Amino acid sequence: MGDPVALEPLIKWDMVQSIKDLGIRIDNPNYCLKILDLFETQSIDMLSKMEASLKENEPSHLAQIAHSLKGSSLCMGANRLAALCHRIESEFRTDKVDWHEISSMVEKVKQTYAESLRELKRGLPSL
Amino acid sequence: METNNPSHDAGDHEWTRLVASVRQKVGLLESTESNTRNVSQSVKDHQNSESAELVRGLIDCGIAELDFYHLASLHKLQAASGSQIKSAEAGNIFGSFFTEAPIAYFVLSQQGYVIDANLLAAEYWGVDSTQLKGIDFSGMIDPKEIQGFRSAIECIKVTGHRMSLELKCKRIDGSAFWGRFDFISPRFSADGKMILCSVIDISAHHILDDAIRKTAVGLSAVTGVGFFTRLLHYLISFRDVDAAVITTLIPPYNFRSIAIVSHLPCEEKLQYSRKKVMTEFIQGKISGLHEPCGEHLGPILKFFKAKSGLSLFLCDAERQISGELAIVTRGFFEDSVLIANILKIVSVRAAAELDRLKIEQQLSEYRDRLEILVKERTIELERKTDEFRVNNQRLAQEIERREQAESVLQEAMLKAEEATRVKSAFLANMSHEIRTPMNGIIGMTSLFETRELSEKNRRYLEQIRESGQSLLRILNDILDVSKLESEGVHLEFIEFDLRELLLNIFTGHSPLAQKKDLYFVIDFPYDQPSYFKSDPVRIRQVLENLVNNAIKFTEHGGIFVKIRFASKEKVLISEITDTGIGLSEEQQKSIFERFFQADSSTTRRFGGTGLGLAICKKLTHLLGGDISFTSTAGVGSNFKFIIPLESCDKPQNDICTYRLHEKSAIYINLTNTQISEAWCRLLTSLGFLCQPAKQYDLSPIEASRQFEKVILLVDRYQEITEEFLGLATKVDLVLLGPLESHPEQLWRSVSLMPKATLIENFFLEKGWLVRGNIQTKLTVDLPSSVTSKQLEVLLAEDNLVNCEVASGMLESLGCHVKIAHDGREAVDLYQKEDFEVVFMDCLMPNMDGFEALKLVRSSAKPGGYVIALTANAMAGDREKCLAAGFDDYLSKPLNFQDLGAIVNKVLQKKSTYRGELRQQ
Repeated sequence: MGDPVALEPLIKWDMVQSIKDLGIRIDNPNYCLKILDLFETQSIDMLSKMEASLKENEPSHLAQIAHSLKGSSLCMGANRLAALCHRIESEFRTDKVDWHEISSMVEKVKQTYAESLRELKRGLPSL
Repeated sequence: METNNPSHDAGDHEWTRLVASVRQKVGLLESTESNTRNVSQSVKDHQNSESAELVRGLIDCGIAELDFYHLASLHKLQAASGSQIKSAEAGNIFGSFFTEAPIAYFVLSQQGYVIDANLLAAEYWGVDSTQLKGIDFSGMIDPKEIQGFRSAIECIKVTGHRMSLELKCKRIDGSAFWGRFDFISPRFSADGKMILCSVIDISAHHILDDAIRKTAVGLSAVTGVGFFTRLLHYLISFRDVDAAVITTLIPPYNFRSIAIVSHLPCEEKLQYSRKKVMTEFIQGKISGLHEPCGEHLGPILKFFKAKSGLSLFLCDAERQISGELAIVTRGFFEDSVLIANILKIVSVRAAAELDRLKIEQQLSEYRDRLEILVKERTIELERKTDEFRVNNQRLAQEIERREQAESVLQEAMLKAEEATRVKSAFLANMSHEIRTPMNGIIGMTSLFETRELSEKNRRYLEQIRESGQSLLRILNDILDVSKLESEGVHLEFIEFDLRELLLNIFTGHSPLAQKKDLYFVIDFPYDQPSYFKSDPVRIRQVLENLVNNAIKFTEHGGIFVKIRFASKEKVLISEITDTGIGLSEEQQKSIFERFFQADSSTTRRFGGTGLGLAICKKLTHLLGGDISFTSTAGVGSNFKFIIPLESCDKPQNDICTYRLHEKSAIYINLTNTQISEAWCRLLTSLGFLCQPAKQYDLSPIEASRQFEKVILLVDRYQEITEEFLGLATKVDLVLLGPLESHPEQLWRSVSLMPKATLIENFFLEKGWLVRGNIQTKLTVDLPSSVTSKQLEVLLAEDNLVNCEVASGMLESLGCHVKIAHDGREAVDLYQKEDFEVVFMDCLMPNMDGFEALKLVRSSAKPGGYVIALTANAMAGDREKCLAAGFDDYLSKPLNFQDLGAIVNKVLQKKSTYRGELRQQ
């Protein structure tokens, strides 16, 4: 209730814009798309890894992946996704790890990731 | 002779004169001290007058009770004492008077010896008169009286006064009687040696006196029935009285004996009735005497088998008959007058006593009754007490029972509460358990969506996703209701962007609206404040529910969401209008109730839990607002909710800011004027020149000259007006309609816009709008020296995306970047090659940044410029990194400006360093 995650913008377009601008600067018009593609592949990989470590109850690994995904999400302006990852990460810093909570958050991460990607793909051309 | 009779010839006149003269003298005498002596003198004065006259005068003077007969004895005394009475004839007469007088006379000597006595005197003493002469009078009286007698004689001797005495006399046979004695020393006895004495038998008086005394004194000691017995005993002590009875009246006519004392044989109790009471007897009169006269004495006489009787009614204080007192005798009453008098005397007391008795009886009756009453009352009281006790017991039992029931109830309540808690926990758990896999399903389908799929597979996937989502919604609804009902919802007031919230809602619901070919318009112009402080999650929930319902129940037309903030009242007014099925008046009554749906067919047709509006109402109330609606069946509904909230300042990084790409004019010509106006307002607020096509101020041709871009927005299949047709090559045409329709080729550019589109998003896609303010446009003040790739940079970062972006940024900043994917790799590279700056992610697999830094610092080249990168963005990160030995710190996401600043800094250092080297 009153989840700060939900209040994070799905996509922080400034970031995307800056990547796009960066592409223009380094004279690579497909730069942004390439990054996005990279993001997609890497993220799907991460998500499946997350799923796996969730099944095997590997908290440190899961936390690490979450942290990593947080980094790339922030980079891509997928702030809501990043916030979710951050939450998973902080969940592991607490004394008692609620696996239920984490598994539900991982599901949310997937969902949010999908939304973010859709939105990015949709929005990127108009940038 | 004539002197003997006052009415004789001597004449009244003569008699009166004489009397008057005597009276005068006596009046004179009375005023003197020694009247007796004067009387004697007066008598002496009249020595010569006839003795009759003297006697008359004496009588008239009232001296003693000398009557005519006494006078006779006086004459005899005179004669005996040798006085001047010489007439033999007179002497004879007087002598005979003396002798035969009906009063007993004695002539006594001064010593108390009898000189003479008359016949009656002899009779009193039961002797011959001659026997009396010469005897000592003392012997004739009770010895106890002798003293009194003697002193009386002495007194007369000395004073010459008349003396009266009552003496108890002693007859010759020893019996006694009472006599009244009057002694005088006659004047004719010159030497006073003779005493004349008259005697009257006053035994009867004594008896009466005794009766009075006894009734007054003797019997008074006794009261009640005891008194009556005493009284009756007293009465029958009289001669002739053989029996006495006292009865009491038992109204109206019955008399019953209280006490009977009888010498005659009789029954123990007497009871008789009088059919009538002879009233003349009531006034204290004696009735009866003997049989023939005492008719009403009959029963009494019969009872005693007596012959005569006397009876007297006893009356109470009110003169009402209360009883009867009767005496009877076998023969006749010898002295009936005396006995009647006695009866009268005692009756007074007897009546009083009877009265008292009756009163006492009454009293005792009262007492008895009182006692009975008291007893009754006591019994009743006891009964009541018993009842009370029983009631008390019952009450106590009841209380106990209730207490038991209460404790049972309490227990039950505790159990119920526990059950509710368990239920809630179960529900929460269950929904969590269900939600997690649901999220999994939905998430995974989402992942699929990003991949290339066949149309068929995509459709299947879409269905899976939609079903999953609706299931999730139901779950959330149920969870929300249970939370709302258990008051377990706490509001969390934070700052939020309403526009973004609306955008999210729109994004979530527009697909369905699009599919149904409904318009879905959000009328929230950009000149409205959009940052508020409230509970966005709750507001979103309400809005979503209403929007969801509106879309669900609408088949044609569309949904219009109008949002306005009344800054004066500080309330947000939201109206959701649809052209759906609407609600009948009957349905309108209970739509805010839980599980309400228009009817069961609605559930079948539209699905859902029927909880949405109940939740909305609860939430709006929770937010301090209210929700209302108007609806017409078949026409549509309008839901309006108002909530108070505070607006706040726009944050710097407002994502929902747009600017025009080019100077544009838009002409809108839609059949739905409501939408036209709403979009007009919205686009105007974004900076477009926006006009409804038919009411424009600026003609399209004029606009095409002035503006870089002219856009015409019309309904699909709408005929385009000529003025626009003429401009076809200059105007961008936007057709509002379903996607599958094919636009005309005539136009410079034709685009189709679905009815459920956020117009600013569409414009954004078309490039007619650009995100962000002009002021926040990306400007990096790049260092002039950074043109050639002078700087050798090592980037240690495990995340490929971050790597790519960071290296891109660094390269654009003129750096030569080498990448290490974990800490170990970074350390190896660092040792192998020369880097002027190292960007080190703190958290990496295999070896983290801190560990790597340690190795760097402890290597042959410990002085490298190492910058920490973290994605934690937490307070204290910077300090932590600097303390660990990093030269600088950057938080992710990396920012072009920050990165540039770092590079600049290093370059400056480098030039200084180079300068230093050169100097060396």
